[in-house]
Amino acid sequence: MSPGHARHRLNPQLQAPVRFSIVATLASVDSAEFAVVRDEVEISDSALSKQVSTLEQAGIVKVKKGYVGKRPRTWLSLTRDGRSQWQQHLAALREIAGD
Amino acid sequence: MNDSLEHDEARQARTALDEADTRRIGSPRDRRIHGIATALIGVILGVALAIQPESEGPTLFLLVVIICFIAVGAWQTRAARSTPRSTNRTAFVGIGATVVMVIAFVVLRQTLEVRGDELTWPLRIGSGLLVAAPMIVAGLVIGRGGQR
Repeated sequence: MSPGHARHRLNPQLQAPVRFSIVATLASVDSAEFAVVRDEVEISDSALSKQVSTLEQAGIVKVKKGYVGKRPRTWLSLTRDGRSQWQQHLAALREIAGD
Repeated sequence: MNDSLEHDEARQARTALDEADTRRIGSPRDRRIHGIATALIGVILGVALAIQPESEGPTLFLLVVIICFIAVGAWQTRAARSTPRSTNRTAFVGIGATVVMVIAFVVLRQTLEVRGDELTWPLRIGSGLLVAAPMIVAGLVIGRGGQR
């Protein structure tokens, strides 16, 4: 266990509630369509785009764009580093919760 | 006051952990789609190797097989909205084992050809089943999924 209170090991990117929900959603799958994540987290397209962009810049989320027929589709997934950061964040939360 | 702060922190942390636990979107429907697609790829490959014509040129036959693979892949991509956890890893393990089986089949066929022996139908069917088996198993594992 690292020294210092567990709150210092919380990931600042994941403390925002919406980003937390997005990463929690993606942690349960290998990848998911943009619309599925949007519906699960219950935010608008633009809000999700903005948060995903922040997470992508932090190296937590990977975005893959493609087409199915003529329809564009966007798939979201956690990076390997993103999963590691998520697990560390959860571990810190469990320590704070006293679990 | 410190106790109150820590109590609040603990409560907030528990709320966040509960939130994380509820966010699970790998649906049974998507598991079935990926499972079926993975198994179908194995079946197509197994059948193709078993019935591959020797006397005719392989071009048209190979084209049909490739079209089947593309059709399954296209259906999988269109139908599934998520890829449940560990699906990719399980599929890659199945593909890896299938590749080993294909190599074994090719070695068997070439050995028989060198010896002047025929690749009999029981051998073809058995080989086809062995080639298909890893991906069928992978498909079943994916389709059943792990309940977390």
